Amino acid sequence: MVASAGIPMYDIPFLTVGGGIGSFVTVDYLRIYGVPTSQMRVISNIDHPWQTYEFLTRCSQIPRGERIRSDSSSRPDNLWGFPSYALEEAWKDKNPAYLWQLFTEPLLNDYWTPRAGTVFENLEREAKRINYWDMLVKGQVRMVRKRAGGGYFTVVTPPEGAAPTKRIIFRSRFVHIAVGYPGLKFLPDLQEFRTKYSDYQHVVNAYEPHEQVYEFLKTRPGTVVIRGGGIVASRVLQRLFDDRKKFGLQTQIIHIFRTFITGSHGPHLWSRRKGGDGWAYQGFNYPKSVWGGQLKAEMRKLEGAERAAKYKQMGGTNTPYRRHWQEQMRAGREGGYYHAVQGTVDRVERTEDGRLVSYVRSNDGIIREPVADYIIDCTGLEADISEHRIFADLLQHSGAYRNPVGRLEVERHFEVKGTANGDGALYASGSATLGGYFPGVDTFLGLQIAAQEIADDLARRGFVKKMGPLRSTAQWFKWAFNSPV
Amino acid sequence: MTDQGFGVVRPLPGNGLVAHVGGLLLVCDAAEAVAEDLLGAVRETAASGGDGRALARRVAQVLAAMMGEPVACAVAGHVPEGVAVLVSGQASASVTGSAGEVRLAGRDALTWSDRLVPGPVTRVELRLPDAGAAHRFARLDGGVISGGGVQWDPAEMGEAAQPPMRAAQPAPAPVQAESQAPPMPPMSPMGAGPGPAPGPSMAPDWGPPPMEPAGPPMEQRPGPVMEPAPAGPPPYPLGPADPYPPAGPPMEQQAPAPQGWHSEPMPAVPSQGPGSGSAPAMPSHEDIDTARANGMGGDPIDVRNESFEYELLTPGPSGPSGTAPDMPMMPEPESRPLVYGVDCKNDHFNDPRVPYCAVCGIALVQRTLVPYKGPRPPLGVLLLDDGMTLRLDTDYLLGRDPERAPEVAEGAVRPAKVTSPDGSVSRRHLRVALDGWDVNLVDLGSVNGTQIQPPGDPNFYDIPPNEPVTIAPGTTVRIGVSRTMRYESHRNS
Repeated sequence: MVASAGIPMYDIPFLTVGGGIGSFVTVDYLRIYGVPTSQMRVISNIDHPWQTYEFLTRCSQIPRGERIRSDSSSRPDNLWGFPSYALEEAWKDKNPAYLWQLFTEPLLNDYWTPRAGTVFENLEREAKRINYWDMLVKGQVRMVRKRAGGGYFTVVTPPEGAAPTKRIIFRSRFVHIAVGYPGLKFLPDLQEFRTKYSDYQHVVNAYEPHEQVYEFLKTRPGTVVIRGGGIVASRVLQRLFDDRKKFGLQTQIIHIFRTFITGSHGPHLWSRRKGGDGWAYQGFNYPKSVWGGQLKAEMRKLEGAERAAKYKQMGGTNTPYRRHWQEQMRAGREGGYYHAVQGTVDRVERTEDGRLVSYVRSNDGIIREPVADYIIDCTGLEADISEHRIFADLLQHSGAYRNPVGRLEVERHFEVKGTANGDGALYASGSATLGGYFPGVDTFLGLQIAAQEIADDLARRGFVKKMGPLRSTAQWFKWAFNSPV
Repeated sequence: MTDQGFGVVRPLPGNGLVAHVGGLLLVCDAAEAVAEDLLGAVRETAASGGDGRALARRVAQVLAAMMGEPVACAVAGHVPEGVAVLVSGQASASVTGSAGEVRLAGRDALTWSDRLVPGPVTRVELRLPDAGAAHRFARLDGGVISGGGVQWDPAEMGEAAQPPMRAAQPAPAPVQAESQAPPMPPMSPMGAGPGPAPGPSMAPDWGPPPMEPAGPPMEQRPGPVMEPAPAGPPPYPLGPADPYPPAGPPMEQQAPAPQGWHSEPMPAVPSQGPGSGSAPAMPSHEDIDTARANGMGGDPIDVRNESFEYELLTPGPSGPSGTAPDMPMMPEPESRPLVYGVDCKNDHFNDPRVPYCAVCGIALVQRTLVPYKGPRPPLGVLLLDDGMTLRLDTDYLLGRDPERAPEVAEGAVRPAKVTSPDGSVSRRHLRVALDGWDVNLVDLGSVNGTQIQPPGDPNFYDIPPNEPVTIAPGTTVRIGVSRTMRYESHRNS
């Protein structure tokens, strides 16, 4: 039927949809395992794998020179994780203090984390080395459907003028989906404000460009409301504090936490997370034991409600305890320009003089109405998978279903459950698969672990030879000398 | 086809999609991709001013491309002679015209059925097989909803006389806006009169404005009280088209200082120290004192009580154009021109180049985007070095004396008064011209010129006079010698 409709069709054994870091890490593994570029395609609407990540980090106040929240040895450009980012930066910056920090973290020092720029530069180097751009096909993926006879069809709309027809179709045995978050999440009251007043500049999401806030505050004293208690709120806060100090500003900050943490919390003595002043503190997104410890082993065996409960127990918004931030916040509280409160915002309105009044309801019943010049919403990204057309289509037509926490249910080897078709397999990795047997999927290391599982599964299915220690060692030297795979 | 005199459109419950855009109707139940193409056809036709005939042709093209897959869909729209209607698949239509009722069913045809029913048409109904009965009070004045069909009664007027509006997009309606909208009432941004007398200087850590130490920020607000807003709401016929309500009451009617918090006890807010109030929303007076100490301006105004966003700048007392009463005579430029843009999956109109929807945040890249013409949302802001904020929803004329410029008198642009102590800003200095989704600068042959500093570039560059130069968000613009402003936008991708 497809052929008779006159839509051009291309055969490609392995297709990855997304083109972000998830797709990149997966094709990187497969290239190193030995798959030639001719056997794989990346369908994407972005030009380079770190594009979306860089946009979001830059907006949320982590430009290239600042440090992201990721472990030193989680390297999406290096499946061995050696040498770690810390070794590399120590070498490049001629700064052995990084190594000292590494040895003393997290007790005497904060966790060492890499600069965003280091990550992007290394991704670029590795992408060139594996000829990533030979595999990239620009286009919008409309749907992935099972094909009679095994494998899948992927319907793609190429950019206008790039192809003679409006759609092209890829026929493949294996498809991998790593499309990331469906979008930013603008809270309903903020959406309402934006549409009601057609004002996109004063109520902003931390993940969208919002330099006007910081620029305005340089011109006259103002008040900013921050909402959210995660890493992005920390970064935005740091920027406000930094600017305050650097330019001698008078910025007032009101920080609204929906969940206000006052101290250590957790189910028992051995499983506690530090907290205080509203925040929950944790070095990385996940407790370290998800990577190889107890939590990993435990989660691998859990199903249904038990798994959901375990996720709930270790979940929750948190941010790293960085000494510099703590000092800034302490100074802010003492100086009377940083105010943290618990509350839920019912709505935001414009005052007569053009400022913003938030109606904040606290658990103690008090209604507060702070007036501000700007509101920065740091509450996060849209995570509902059905907001993405590809997942919505898979759920509806291809037998995929949701896991106990509401995202896409995948096997231990990241095959999407319910979508197997003949000798083909459909895989997914990244944030869409959170809630599976392996936690931590939406991190660099999580993407790498998923890629490894997928590559090994593909080896079992005969698509590629499994990589033994000899090839691995040889490939590491190729990585180190930046020679082609 | 015009929206005027369009009757009542009632949605019928059901599981498909129902759209009403600019008087064109669509009902369909199809795969997402096809539905998207059909909606695109309706929007494009409406945007290009097409009638029912144009719509039927476009929809036929979509259906032809889908040949082989039955698509349940029906469309209808006015034509000069009556109503054009097209049905396909499981959908059906019923049109009551001068020659009685005409029924069409998609399943009777090999491809699709279409018909031109001569007027006057008294009733049109488009249905999917599962459609229910219309609720008496249900109405769809515009937009896309889920439903099983639609009933259109061109004769029923009632409150339906108002033009149907697009969901989530205020009607552009340039015609009405021009003919009926009165000039913008004065915003009186500068006109607050002298603010509370500043206390003694106590600004240990408040330096001069960082961006432009030479540009005294107070210079340009020597304002006496401006014309108060006219009594009663201004007769905007299209409220949503100009979502900023006219500025509130003039400053003198305002509460003393906006209180940062409700009067509830708020232990987390300590006092700011003597003389500076206790609310976090009310910073101290130090900036003004500093400005004064630096010899800037005359009597300072407490800017904290002012609106920080000025849509319409009013002349100062020394302005040669005289006094505020002139202002209401100034025609306000048309602020919502139509530009090509795209809808996100939640039907918010966007710049086609941005990664995320400006209203709901959903990624735009995940769907095939069908550009159509819609009313342009604000493009961002110009932020002057004194904190004055100009919302980029229309063209501006910046200068020392912009009000008397002919283009302002014609109503083509909004004036923005920018002065500097060294006199380096010309009377008509710079025009900020919006073109599509771009912001352009045109130096109007000013004496001291205009310079731009692109984002990330340490240098300023002269722009040629009388030639539009497109600037990117993050650009700093130097007007004359000592004044600067920045262009910032949420659309910076």
